[in-house]
Amino acid sequence: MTMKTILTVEDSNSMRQMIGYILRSAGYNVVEAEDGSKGLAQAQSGKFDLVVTDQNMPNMDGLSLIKALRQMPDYKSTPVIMLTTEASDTMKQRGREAGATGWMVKPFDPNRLLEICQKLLG
Amino acid sequence: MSLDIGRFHQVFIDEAIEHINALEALALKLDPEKPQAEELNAIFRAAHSIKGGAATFGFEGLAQLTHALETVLDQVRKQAMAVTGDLIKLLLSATDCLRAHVASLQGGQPIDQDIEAKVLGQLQRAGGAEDGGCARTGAVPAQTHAANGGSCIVVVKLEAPELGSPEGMLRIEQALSGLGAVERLTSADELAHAMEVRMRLTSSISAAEVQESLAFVWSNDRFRIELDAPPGAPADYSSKPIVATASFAELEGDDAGFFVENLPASLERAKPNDPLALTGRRSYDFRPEAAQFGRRQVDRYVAIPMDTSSIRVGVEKVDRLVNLVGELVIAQAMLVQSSAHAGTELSESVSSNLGQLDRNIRELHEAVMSIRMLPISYVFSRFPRVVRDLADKLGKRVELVLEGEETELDKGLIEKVTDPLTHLVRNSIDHGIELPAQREAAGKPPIGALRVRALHQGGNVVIEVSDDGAGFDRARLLEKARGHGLAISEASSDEDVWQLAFLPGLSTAERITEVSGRGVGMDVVKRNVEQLGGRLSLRSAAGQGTTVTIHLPLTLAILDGMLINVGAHTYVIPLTHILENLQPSADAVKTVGGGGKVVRVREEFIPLIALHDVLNLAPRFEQPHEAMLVLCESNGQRAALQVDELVGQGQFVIKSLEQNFRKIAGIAGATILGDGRVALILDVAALLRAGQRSEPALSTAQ
Amino acid sequence: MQAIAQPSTQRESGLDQADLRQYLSFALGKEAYAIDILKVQEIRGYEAVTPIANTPAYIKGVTNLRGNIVPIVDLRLKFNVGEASYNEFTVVIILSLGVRVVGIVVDSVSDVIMLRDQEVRPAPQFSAVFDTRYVSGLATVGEQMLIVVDIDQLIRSSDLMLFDDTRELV
Repeated sequence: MTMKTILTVEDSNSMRQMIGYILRSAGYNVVEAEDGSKGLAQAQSGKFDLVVTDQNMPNMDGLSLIKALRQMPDYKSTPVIMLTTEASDTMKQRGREAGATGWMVKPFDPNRLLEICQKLLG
Repeated sequence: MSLDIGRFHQVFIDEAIEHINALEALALKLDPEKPQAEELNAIFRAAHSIKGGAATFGFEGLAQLTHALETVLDQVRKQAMAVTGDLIKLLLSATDCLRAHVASLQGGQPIDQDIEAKVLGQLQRAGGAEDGGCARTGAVPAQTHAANGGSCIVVVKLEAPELGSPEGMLRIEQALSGLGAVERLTSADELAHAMEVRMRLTSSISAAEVQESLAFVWSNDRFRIELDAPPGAPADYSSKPIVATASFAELEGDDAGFFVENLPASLERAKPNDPLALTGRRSYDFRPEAAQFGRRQVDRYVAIPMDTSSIRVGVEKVDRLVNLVGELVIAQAMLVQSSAHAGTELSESVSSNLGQLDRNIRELHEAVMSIRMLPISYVFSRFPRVVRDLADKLGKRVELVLEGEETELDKGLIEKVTDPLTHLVRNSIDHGIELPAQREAAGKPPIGALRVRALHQGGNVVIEVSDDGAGFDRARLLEKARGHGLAISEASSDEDVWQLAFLPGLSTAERITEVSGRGVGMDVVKRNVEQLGGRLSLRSAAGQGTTVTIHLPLTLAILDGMLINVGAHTYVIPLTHILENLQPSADAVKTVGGGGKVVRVREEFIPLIALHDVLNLAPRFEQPHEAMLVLCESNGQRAALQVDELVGQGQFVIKSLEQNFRKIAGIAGATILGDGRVALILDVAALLRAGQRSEPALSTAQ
Repeated sequence: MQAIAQPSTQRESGLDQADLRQYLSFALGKEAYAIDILKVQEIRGYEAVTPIANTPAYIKGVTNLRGNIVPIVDLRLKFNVGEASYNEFTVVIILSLGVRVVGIVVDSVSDVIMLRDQEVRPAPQFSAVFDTRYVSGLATVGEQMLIVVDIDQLIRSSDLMLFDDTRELV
């Protein structure tokens, strides 16, 4: 069985490392990017089974990243989880329209993130 | 499965400090007249990032502070709140507060609860006042609900009659019980010494609503509301089993969910409940900037280089590298020297290879030294704040111009030059730049100009602090000097008179600031700079301002020095202390009371210190007129050091004597010469002090 | 008996007895001494020592040991044994004591010997040369008596003024 590879996009060092740690602990291969544009570059140079992205980031925010990903044939249906501190309906609606598969409010329980990722990875 | 996210606490703290610094820098840059949207977004994001991490990693207090700050900044960025001087002040006190809070998390000073509560109150009022409390129902309650099932911690300060009394606690409990279920977190034992009590309130209303309700009972500074243990306590995570087989719907909650139409076809499609679909609500964001922002950002990603990453390494690793390369440089020099002795016997290819090796080692040395180099912006970045605070306090108006912030110097120097430079900047504002009215009366613009500039010049870093203030008052300085018993001629050059400001007695004992002079602690600044192997000079013109210039070596590890011989021994004198070298005529040297000697240099008598006496060595020349004199200066004192011979100038890698041995009076360190021998570096300041003690009648001797 | 109580980290393979320890023996004048070999970094000739003004005579100065400045102490001068002559046979034992590296001048280095802990007997309360504080005990090898020195204690002692003792110049 091949190892599933997850792309995590998060500008905060500590959050990114923590998310990476959680997902690696569960046996996933994790590639990290520090903002939306770097995440997009990573996505262009590799194939990922799941993308976890923060919303509020410099250079390119999460929504823009998701929209850009959905333009790419390889990422038409790749599950993307959007992390956001704002759980408003507006934000959810924007996530939905951008093409996010799911959302999660920060701060979150690491186990919850893992559950959601595992579910989306089938 | 147990996930310990505590291991990321230090990463978070480091990151938080960076964000706090960025926050401060951005706040200082904010222009109330035309705030830049980009700056406002960046400043919001800094607060936002700290909050997110703090809540995730379980730093409640920090999360609460940054949440309040973020709420304010969110409104500023949405232009619902204006950028005013007061707002900037509030942001600055918030950054101070955050910095203190983080320092305490790292085991520094405990948090000053009063200050923190005050700043938090100010932020909450600012955040709430602007849009009727809406903002406060933002993220705190969301988090509180999402993560903590609607509970929060209420902290209430005890007032005099209640201190230590169970009745006081009971009253507080009763006041809270109207809002929900109350659980005491302060035990009866703790209560005896407590200044405040903590209660957990589990309620159906949000934290912001709790805050509003309680505001009717207590004044804002008497109580505060904290998040109830946000996820961060690692123990919590291991308790929940991971349900891999749950359906999408089962996995949905307040904290996470799915968009059904975006689920990949391969996954189970049905079932997730869609809160938006259920409520039938749709909201769209029509703000033009939202759309543009998104588009602009997408356009921009192409231009961004893929990776501009850096790595963090421990300083000790770098230092080891620097040491090893230093050794390599010495070994190379020895090799070159011995190959020179070999002369023609050496084949041409060996010499050319040696030349190549020499170039490579030089480059390697530079490259390694550059690892330790940091831009001076690390020091300069604090000045906007220093200037602002001090100018505010003194009622002065100052425009600060920073130049050459990218100039690099050794990390060790950066740390050590911070205090002296800050001192100079403060001096300029305190004693240089006049009050606006005085400036206008003198025909100057009311806003004083303070310029701090750094540049590379030869192998040195030059830092200049200049102002267009009142300048030094020559007459006043001369008068002061005479008051201290110093014989200074009225005809002395300005340069000589300004030097007086560096004399310890003159500058610190009595502040000569009333009139115009600055001199406060200038001797200390000068000494600090000299300890770094640098030198300091001063130009001033009455009414026009003052410029202090500091010359520093690029690194602490290399010293510019003069090699000298005394008898069979070789020493290094740091160039920074050397004024000139001279060979005196026999009649220029006089013996004064107590057996000390002085030498006449032009019109001045300067004490003479024979190094062979101080160092107990057998000299080649006893008589000063046969020997060489090196005229040195330190802390405003001058003396001529008698040596046998000057060997030459050079750069020397400084080695510590204390690593394997101990401090030796009169010796500043050691270096390894090209032939592998050790030469000691003289501590000129100590030699001059010692010389002065043994010879009581110095500069006034005639 | 600090030196003996310390756990040893290296042992000769094949000699698995836990209490067997290696010592370096050397001569100062007519007496033979032994020190824990784990404290010895290397043995060198006596060369190019830069003297330091206003330090006691037994501190010969400092030398360059691969870029580190290392003080050299002549124990013969400190303890008034033998003659402090310096020739091509004069030996410097470079000691590594925690973070410090120090060289000691001795007349000659004799041998590496193995001693069991019980072979090092407590020294009587007199000693011609060393303060008994620095003597771990006495041992006999063949006909010769060895004074086993706690070199760590000796070098660090305030008596020697090697570390952190700043004296005024004048």
